[in-house]
Amino acid sequence: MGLEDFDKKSLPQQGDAGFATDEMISGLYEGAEPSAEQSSIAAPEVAEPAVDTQSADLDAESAPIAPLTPERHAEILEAIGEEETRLEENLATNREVISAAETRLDAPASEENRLKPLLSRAQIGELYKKTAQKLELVALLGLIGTGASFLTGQITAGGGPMVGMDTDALEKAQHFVEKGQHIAENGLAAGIGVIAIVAIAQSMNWLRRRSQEKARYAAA
Amino acid sequence: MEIEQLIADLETLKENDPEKYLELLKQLNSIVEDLNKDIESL
Repeated sequence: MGLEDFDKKSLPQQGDAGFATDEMISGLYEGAEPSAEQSSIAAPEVAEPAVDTQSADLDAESAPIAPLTPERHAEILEAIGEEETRLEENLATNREVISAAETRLDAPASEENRLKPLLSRAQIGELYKKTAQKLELVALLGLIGTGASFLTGQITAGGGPMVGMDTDALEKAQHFVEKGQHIAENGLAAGIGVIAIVAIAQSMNWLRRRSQEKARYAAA
Repeated sequence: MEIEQLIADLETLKENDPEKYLELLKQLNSIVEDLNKDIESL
């Protein structure tokens, strides 16, 4: 499904082909910190990740687009400019809130107080679902998930390979994240949408990492 | 998906179907704003 099909009424639902299942989503958060050796181990018997490059293809040229009136076109371009500015501001805010939260959470305090307010794994799972539904780019979300996971090397579940991941997917995720970071660091003009996607992945990864701290604290 | 391809697709989308591109930007803004609220609430 490409963006030309975008329609909130047709948002993917649980059970739809290509839609990330609860098991796939929850698998992103489970597992202990892997060693470097574990991180490089290929998954021997795991399913192909739910990455459908055909679905991810935005396919912007395939569907005929009704021509816009000059007035309407001008309105849309103005709105695009406003949304791009808003996105730049939101991304700046994103960096600020993460930095502030890091400072706040790392401030001297009791471990209980420091970890008490963190989101639960289930809450972060809901975030992933919400993100998938909003983007309706399920295959792209797969890359976001693997990319976010790769950032911290938390790619295993219970010491074994994470379900739905293999070496190829991880290499793609690494490439995706590295290029995204390069684009973000260099402020390439064409990449505002990609910068946003990378920021979303990194934010969710940050939330997930913090929730795992909470889980470890609770288990201790 | 190569990230260069994603960028190219977004640029093509912006040029060929600005309404859809605008909708995508709105969705990205919505997601980032939600994430910011969630992180701020920690």
